[in-house]
Amino acid sequence: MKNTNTATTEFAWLIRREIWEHKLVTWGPGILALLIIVSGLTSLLHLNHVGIVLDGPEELQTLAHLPQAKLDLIAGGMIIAVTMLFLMLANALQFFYAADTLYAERAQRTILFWKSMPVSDLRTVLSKLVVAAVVMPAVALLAALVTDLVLAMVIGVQFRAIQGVAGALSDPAVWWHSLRICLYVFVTSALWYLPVVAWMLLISAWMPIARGMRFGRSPMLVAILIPVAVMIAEAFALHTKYFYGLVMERVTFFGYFRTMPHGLHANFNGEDLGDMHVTSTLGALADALIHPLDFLVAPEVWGGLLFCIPLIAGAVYCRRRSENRG
Amino acid sequence: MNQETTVSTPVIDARALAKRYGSTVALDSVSFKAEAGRIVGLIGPNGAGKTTALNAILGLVPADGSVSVLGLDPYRQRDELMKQVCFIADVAVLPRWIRIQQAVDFVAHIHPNFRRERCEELLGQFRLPRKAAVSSLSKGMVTQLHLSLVMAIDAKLLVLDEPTLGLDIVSRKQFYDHLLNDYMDEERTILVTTHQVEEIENIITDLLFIDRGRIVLDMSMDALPERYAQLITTPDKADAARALHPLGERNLMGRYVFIYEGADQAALAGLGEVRQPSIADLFVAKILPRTTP
Repeated sequence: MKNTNTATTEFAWLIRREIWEHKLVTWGPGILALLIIVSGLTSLLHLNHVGIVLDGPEELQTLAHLPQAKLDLIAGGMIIAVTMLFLMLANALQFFYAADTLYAERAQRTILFWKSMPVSDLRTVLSKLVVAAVVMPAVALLAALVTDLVLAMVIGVQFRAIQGVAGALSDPAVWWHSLRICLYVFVTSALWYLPVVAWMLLISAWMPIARGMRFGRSPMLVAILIPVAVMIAEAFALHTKYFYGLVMERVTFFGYFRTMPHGLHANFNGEDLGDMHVTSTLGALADALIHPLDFLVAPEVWGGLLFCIPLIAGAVYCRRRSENRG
Repeated sequence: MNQETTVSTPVIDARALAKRYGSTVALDSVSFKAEAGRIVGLIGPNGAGKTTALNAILGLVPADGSVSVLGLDPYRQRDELMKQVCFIADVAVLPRWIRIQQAVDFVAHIHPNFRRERCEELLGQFRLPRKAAVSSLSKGMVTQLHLSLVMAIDAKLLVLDEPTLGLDIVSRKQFYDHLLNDYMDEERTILVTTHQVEEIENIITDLLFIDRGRIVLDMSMDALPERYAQLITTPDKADAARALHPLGERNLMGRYVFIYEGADQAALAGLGEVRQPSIADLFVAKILPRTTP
C-alpha cells in the first residue's frame, strides 16, 4: 500500500525532523525554566528561613498599601520580565540554529540523504525558517508560561499575607493582559528578527565547507564578519555610517522598540513622559502596546520582511547547487 | 507520465554531458543510455568524473548537455524525480543522531512510494534494534539500515555510489545478495560505481568505463567475451603476441598476460591460454596507457 501524503503532513514531518535533531529547541527553554524555578524557590525559602515572610517586613508591607493598579503592574511586570528571559534565549538559539543548520548538513554530508528524498530545496529551507522563527519562540513561550505559573503559585503561598501582590497574581485579568503583551512581543519580535534569521540561513547555505581551517568553520562568525566588513568599507570609502546604523537598529533592541507606539518607546528610552496615564494600568499598557497594524506598516518592518525574500531565495539556490564532491 | 513512454525510452539518457570546475574538466561530453532491467557498472579511476556524472543524473548539480532520467530533467525536477529514484551515496550519509524508528517514520511520511511493511520486514531480517541511534551502529549496520529504507521504496532507478565503502567482506557480499535477490527485477535499473570491481563483476549486465571525464568503454557484459580476450603465454611467444597489437601486457611471475580488443581468438589460441579478461584486467589495460604517458 502506498502512502498518501499531503504537503502539510510532509511539512510537519520536516519540522519534526529538525526538532529531533536539535534537542536544544526543547531542552534550552526547559533548562532555563528549571533554573528560574529552582533559583526562585531557593531565594524564597531563604527569605522564609530568615523569618521575613508571613507577616512581611516593613518594606514589603508597604506594597500592600499601594493601589491595586500598581500591584497589577508589579505582578504583570514580573510575568513579563520572566517571559522576556525566554524570548532572549529563543533569539540566541534561533540565530545559532539558522547559522548552523544548512552548513552542518553539508559538512556532515547528511544532505545527500535528505536530497535522496522527494522534498524540494524550497520546502526544506522553509521548514528550517519556520523552526527558527516560529517553533523556537513558541516552545520558549510555552516554557515561560509554565515558569510564570509555578512562580506565581510559590509567591502566592509565600506572600499570602501581602494580599495585594498575591491577589494580583491570582487575578485572571492580570494574566490575560500580561500574556497578550508577551504573545504580542514574541510575534512581533519574531517578525522583526526574521531578516537576521534569513541572513544566517543564507550564509549557512552558501559558505564553502572548510575542512581543517578553524576560522572557516563558523558560519555564525562569517555571518557577523561580512556586515562588519561592509561597515568598515563604507566608513573608509564613503565616510558614512548608513549601513552600520541599519544593522545596529536591527540587531539591538532599539530599532524594535522604535516600532512601538510613541508613548511606550519614549518610556523605554527613558524620555520624559507627558502622557503617563497610558501606562497607568496593566490593561491600558497592553492596549497601548498592541497595535499589530501599526507595527506591520512601519517601513522597517515590512522592509525587513521583503528583504527576507531574496535572502531565502539565495539560501534555496545555494542548497540546490550544493553538491557532493566525493 | 504515461506508461508507454517509460517503457520505450531509456531510464537514463545522457547526451554530451559536460561539467567544468574552473579549469578542470570533470565531464567532457559524456553520452550513454541505461535501459530498464539492467545493472550498469560505472567504473573509473579516482577523479575520472564518476561522482560528477552521478550528481548530474541525480539532479544534484547542473551540467551542460542534456540528461533525462525517467523522462525528467534531474536538476529542475529533482524532488519529482526522487519519488522514483533512490540513491545511496555512501555509508556515511545517514545522520548520526537519527534513531532507526525515526528514520522509518520520517521516510514513511515523506516518501509516497515507501512501503513500511517491507521496511519493517527487512529491519527484522537484519535484526536492527529500532531504538538505536545511527551513531551507535557499526558501519555494516548503518548500510543495512540504509538498504532497508531504500529497498522498501518502489523506485525505478537505484543509484549506488561506492555503496560498500568501509564494509567488511561479509557485509559487502550480503549487500549485493540482498540487492539481487530481494530487489532487482526487470522493471528496475541499478547504476553502481565502485572501486571493488571484482564484487560487481558477476552482477552487472552493462559496463561503462569512464576516464578523464570521457566514456572509454560502453558495452553489455554479454558482448564482452567476443570483443575482449586475455592471453596468458610464455616469454618465448611474447613477441608473437605483441605483433597482434594487444591493448596492454603484464608480466606475471615469468608468464606474460596480454589483453586484446577485437583480435582473432583462433590466432590467440595458438599462442597460449585464452580467457575472458576480468573487469579489473580490462580496466587496467584500457585506462593505464592513457594515465601513464
